Amino acid sequence: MDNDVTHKDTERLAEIDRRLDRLRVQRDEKDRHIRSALPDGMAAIMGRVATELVAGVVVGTFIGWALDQWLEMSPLFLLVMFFLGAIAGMLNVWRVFTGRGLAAGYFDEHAIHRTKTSKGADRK
Amino acid sequence: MSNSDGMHSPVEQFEIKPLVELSFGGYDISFTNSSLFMLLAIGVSASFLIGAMRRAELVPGRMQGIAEMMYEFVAEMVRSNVGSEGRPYFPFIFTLFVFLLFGNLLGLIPYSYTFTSQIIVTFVMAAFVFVGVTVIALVKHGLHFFSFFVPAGAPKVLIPFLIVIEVISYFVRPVSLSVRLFANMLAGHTMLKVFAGLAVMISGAGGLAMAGSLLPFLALIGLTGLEVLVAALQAYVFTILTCMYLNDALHLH
Repeated sequence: MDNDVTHKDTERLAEIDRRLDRLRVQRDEKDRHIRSALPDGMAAIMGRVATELVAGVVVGTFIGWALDQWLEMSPLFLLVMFFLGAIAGMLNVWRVFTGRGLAAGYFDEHAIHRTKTSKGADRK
Repeated sequence: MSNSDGMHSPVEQFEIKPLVELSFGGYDISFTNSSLFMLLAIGVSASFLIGAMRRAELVPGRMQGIAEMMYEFVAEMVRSNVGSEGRPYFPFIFTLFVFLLFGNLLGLIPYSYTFTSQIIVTFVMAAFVFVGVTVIALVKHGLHFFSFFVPAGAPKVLIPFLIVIEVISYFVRPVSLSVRLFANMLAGHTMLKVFAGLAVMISGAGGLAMAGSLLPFLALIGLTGLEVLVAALQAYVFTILTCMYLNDALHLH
C-alpha cells in the first residue's frame, strides 16, 4: 500500500516536471522577440544609422571592386554595387527604425503582429 | 610626434610598439604593447573569476557577487535573445563579453593600451563571429539557409535585385559590428587626451591662466566617468549583437 502511494507520487512529480519544462520552453520562445535590448537613446540610434549607411556603401563598393578584379569588367560592378550597397545601408536603417531587429532576409509580418498582440495580452 | 611645446599628439596613444621583436617566415609577429594588454585582459579576468569563485559560499561576498552578476547577466542575455538552443554557445559568448569588458576597462588606466581601439582587432573578432554564425546556420539548416536572402512576397522581377541587396546587407554585419566598437573606443580615448592636453597647455601659460585650466580638467573627470560607461556598454553591445546573429542563424524566418 505504502509502495503504491510513493509510486503514484513519483509519477505525479515527473508529470509536473514535464509540464514545467514545456512551459519554460514556451516562455523562452515567447520572450525572445519582445526583449530586444539594444540601447535606444538618441546618440545610440544616430551612431547606428551612421555606421549602417557608411558600412553598406563600403561593403557594396568592396564587393563590386572584387568582382571587377575577377571578371575584368571594371568599372561596371564597382558602379552597380556602389548603389546597391547604398540601398542595403538604407534598408538596414529602415530596419533600425521599424524595430525589425537586425536580421537580413524577409520578415514574417504576421509573426511580428503576433508578438505584439501577445505583448498586449500580457499587460492585461 | 611632439610639437614645439613638448605636447603629445592625442593619437600617439594608439601607436603599436613592439616589445619583443619576432619574425616568422618573413612576417612580423613581434610581441607588442597590444598583445601584452590582450594577455593582461585574459590574465586579469581569469584570475578575478577564479579567485572570486574559489571559496564560493552560499551567501556571496563582494567579489563572488560581482562574478555571479556577470555570469547571470550574460546567461539572461543568451536566454532572452537566443532561447534554450543558445545554451551550448554560452561559454563562448561569456568569454567574449568578459574579454572585451576587461580589455576596455584596462585601457582606461593611464599609460595602458586599449587594444579594442584597433580596427583590425575588432574586425578579426567580428569576422570570427560572422563566419562561425554562418557555419552554424549552414550546418543546422543546410541549403535552406539561402532562403534567408529571398524576401517573401516580392514581385518576381525584383527578386534578383533584392537578393543582391540582402547579401550585401548580410556582409555588412561584421563591418558594422567591428566599426561600432572600434569607433567608440577610438573617439573616446582621443577626446580624453585632447582635454588632458588642453588642461596642461593652459596651465603652462602660468598666472591667472592656471585657474582657466580647471575647466578642461573638470570636463576630463566627467569624461573619464563617461568612458567607463562606454567601455561597459560597448562590450555589451558587441555581445548582444553576437547573440542576435546567433538567434537568426538558429531560427531562420
